[in-house]
Amino acid sequence: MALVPFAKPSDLKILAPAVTDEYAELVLDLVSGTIRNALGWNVDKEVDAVYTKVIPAGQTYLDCVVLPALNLTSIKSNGVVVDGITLASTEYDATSAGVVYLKVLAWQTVSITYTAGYQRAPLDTAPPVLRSVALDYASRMLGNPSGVRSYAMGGTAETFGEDISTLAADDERLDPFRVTQ
Amino acid sequence: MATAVDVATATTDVLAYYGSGCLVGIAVRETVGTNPAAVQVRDGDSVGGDVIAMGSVAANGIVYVPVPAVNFQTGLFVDRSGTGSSEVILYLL
Repeated sequence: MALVPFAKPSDLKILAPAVTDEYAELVLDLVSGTIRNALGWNVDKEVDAVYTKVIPAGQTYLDCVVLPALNLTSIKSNGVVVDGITLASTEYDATSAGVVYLKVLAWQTVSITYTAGYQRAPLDTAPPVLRSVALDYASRMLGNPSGVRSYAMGGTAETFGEDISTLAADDERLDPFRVTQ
Repeated sequence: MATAVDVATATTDVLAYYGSGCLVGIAVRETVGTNPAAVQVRDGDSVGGDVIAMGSVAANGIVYVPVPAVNFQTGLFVDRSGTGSSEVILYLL
């Protein structure tokens, strides 16, 4: 299923009325993809996604698994499996932030089937700040599509304070929604 | 100094230690060499005990798992499954 952009073309056209629908859609697709890359997950709700955690080098057991998603709403019944053995629901705890605490020490791969993320349609439950970041970034792209940092023409020179073609300016707003693995 | 409790190689479940204590490490070795063996270490004297640690070992394989000190109340029951035969050593404080 195609991922849903974080803002609608009609939103962007309010900020940039001269933009065509197709161009607005393209820019928002690109911006949303960049935001998803920066966050490390796709944000949209996934039902019965499966994540398998292998014990990292230098570690001998797992007692906690951080899922690559936030807004964890459920773990499937019989959905936590250690090397083929299913854990009872009393043998783990999970938080909405996507952290699954195992009450057993597992010295083998742990597989978890879960539902997480934000429903995007028909009602968009994603955090509004993502829509705001998408529109800000799209506006910057429209205003400066080639990411020029400075220019000089005749007697006029202008330098932009930051690289306006990246998401660096939005780091603080995006940080609460990042996942790290 | 940790004490080692050796559970002889077999495919059957066994009560390895009776009483309370503190588990600090587990070693498991598959001894027949044809199939993997799975082991669950439970706090209790039967398969009804809470699982403390679990995993498997490949045919002819060996794993050594130092664990954070885990207190157990009733005993350590070794719940074996899979078709391999495993020798288990439990390290207790």
